[in-house]
Amino acid sequence: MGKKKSMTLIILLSIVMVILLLLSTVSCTIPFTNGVKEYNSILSNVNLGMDVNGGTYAVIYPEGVISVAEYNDMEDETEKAKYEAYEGNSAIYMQRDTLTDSFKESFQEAVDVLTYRVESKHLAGASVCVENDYTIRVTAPYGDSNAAAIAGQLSYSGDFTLSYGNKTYIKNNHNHDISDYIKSAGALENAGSYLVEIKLTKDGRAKIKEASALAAASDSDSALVFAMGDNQIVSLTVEEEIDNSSLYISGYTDLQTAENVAILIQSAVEEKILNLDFTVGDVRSYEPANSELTKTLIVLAIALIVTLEILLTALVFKGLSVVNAYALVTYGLAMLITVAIAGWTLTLGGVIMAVLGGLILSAVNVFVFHTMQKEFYKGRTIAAAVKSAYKRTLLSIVDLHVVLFIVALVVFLIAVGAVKTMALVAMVAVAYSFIGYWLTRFYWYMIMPQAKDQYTFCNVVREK
Amino acid sequence: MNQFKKIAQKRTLFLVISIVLLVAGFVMAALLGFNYEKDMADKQSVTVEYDVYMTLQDERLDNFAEECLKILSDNGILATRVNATTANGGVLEFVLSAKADKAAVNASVEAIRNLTANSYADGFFTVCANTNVASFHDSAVWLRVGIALGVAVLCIAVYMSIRYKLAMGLSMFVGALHATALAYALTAILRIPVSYEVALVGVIALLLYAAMQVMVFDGMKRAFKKEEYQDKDADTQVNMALARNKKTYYLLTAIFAISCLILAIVATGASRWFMVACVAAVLGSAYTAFCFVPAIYAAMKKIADKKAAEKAKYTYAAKKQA
Repeated sequence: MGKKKSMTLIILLSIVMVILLLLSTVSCTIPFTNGVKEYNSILSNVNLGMDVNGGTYAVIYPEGVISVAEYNDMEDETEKAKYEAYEGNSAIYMQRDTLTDSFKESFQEAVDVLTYRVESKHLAGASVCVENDYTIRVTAPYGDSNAAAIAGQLSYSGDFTLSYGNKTYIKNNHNHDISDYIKSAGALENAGSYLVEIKLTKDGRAKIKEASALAAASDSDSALVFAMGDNQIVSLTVEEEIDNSSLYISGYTDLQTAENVAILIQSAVEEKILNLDFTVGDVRSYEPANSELTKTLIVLAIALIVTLEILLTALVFKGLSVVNAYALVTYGLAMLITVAIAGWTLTLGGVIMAVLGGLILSAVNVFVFHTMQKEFYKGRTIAAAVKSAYKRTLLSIVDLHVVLFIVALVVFLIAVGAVKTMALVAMVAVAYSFIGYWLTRFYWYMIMPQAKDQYTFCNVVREK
Repeated sequence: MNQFKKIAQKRTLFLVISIVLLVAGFVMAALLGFNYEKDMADKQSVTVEYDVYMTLQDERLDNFAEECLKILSDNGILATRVNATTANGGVLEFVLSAKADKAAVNASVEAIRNLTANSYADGFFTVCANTNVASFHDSAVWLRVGIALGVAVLCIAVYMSIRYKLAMGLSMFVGALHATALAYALTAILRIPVSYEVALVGVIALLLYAAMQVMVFDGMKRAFKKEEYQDKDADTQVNMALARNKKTYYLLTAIFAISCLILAIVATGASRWFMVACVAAVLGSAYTAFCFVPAIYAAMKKIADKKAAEKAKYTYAAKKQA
């Protein structure tokens, strides 16, 4: 590559990189908008996991139990007199005579059922715990499925029923369980819409056929109602008789809501029913101590790691560290933009994967630089040595990336929750590291013509 | 070079170290479980709910929180502060150990109530002591991670057997299981406080190990083709190949470990301990890739070389007869 062409490319690329770096990291007020409009950096748009960013939590109260704040707010003295402070702590009040053995038993069952239902969502960091002996605290990350949505929908109590008009077609009774009618329920995404899929048994199929035939024939009411206790969870409008082994219910605006409905139905199939009614208290957003400082420090730490990598390469390979630096910055920007655009939730595990990808790229570059030096000392010119180094290292680099990609892909396909997201970041990191390997070659050809002495640039000495 | 000179001959030592660490780790995990952080373990807390009016006074709220922490500290209780906001105001939550003395907690609650009544009466405070029992451990996450790790280990072992040698694939299989198990074992033995993210440590260990092991085997594959390796036995070949690239291995381990350490230093709470567990995973993976597996591979190579020599002898004899 000629010197002028090389210089033009370096300037252009450097300008693009600096602009992208600024757009990625600096949030500011947009000029000429009278300070009204704000630009939010790409970094600020990255969804961070509960470990760094915090999340939401809601406390739910079984009937007969209220918070001390709610008690203090009561104005009706007669109503207030029905409650007494719970002896175990200062945080809740209970209706007199609530604390019976059957209440205790039902509460413990409710904890188990709610735990099962929340676990089924596989949300990174979501948790269920007993607070103050007789309330339940549900914690979840920010997003569509925050603690309010989870606690509100997954705490529905009572038996599952499917009815049309006044007649109930599917319900628990002495002769039949829900599992006699429904095999399983799950949520799925199909071409941008969200569905609940209910797999029916032979009996279930017959019941749905019977109910849907009546609903389809009716002029006034054509909706099959799926309910849990007094709460309607699905109202399915029927236009024709349904006679399939699977029932698909559409119309959900997001996957989380469809998933909540599926989880409720599945829990009925597995006979995990709440026998207590619950009220959802205030939903609270929380953040870990020094959250903002931690975010800034993590960014600085990554910058420090990249600098360290560049300095280490500079010690051994001198000018080639510039090539490595360009490759690492490109990799970092690509990772950041991808994570921000894709909207993945980045936990600290994801950060580690992104850093690992950068380290692999650096290691691969060092391997190529080292091989180039060896090839050079066999008597080749620098250009021939570079070409030969890439040829000789290709298979090893492919092996390395294939092995890492296989691990990330398998974990992504099988695991759930935070592990799944981390594996996704790992897959992208490995792919970008491999692209970075080729980009390094381009940067090498682009930058080397600017070196006064190519031998010094590559840290090799031509023997005379 | 000396450290790497006799790696292959130290098989028994490495096996003993590994068995001791793995058994100790699994006994610890089975008997005591992992050392779960406060957010995954039972705990107590003192919560102070305040009105929306107070959310507009950051500095005043900070001063109040400082005074609460001092009250708790005066009663001999160590607490961490968590801020939470609601539509109607907010909650200051001071998280305490489950073992904190109940009487001291109640005394603190009374003192904080007095503080709110005397100095912050306009803030509409409700002060309570809470107990919090952890009941959530996502068993499905562990099951899926276990299956995923098993399948991934099998896949990479098959790939290495095809691309390199069967013995390398088999060693990779053993090594990958070893590195993953060792990461969890070290986390349990060192009682590193962990959160729900502990399941990730095994995946990180496997990825690090896979990267390191491919580099080691690639180095060996290249080295074994050289003339100076031809008349040597398997142990010597492995030792020589390892010694040849020892600087790269040291550097790689150091960079991985330093990166995790830097992140551990800047992170806080559970995240910090997660990064410490990652440092343990790096060290476990490096030990597996650079010491444990080469020693095992040398033994396998010895058997493979012996079989190859016998096969060559028979082929030569058959050809001679013919």
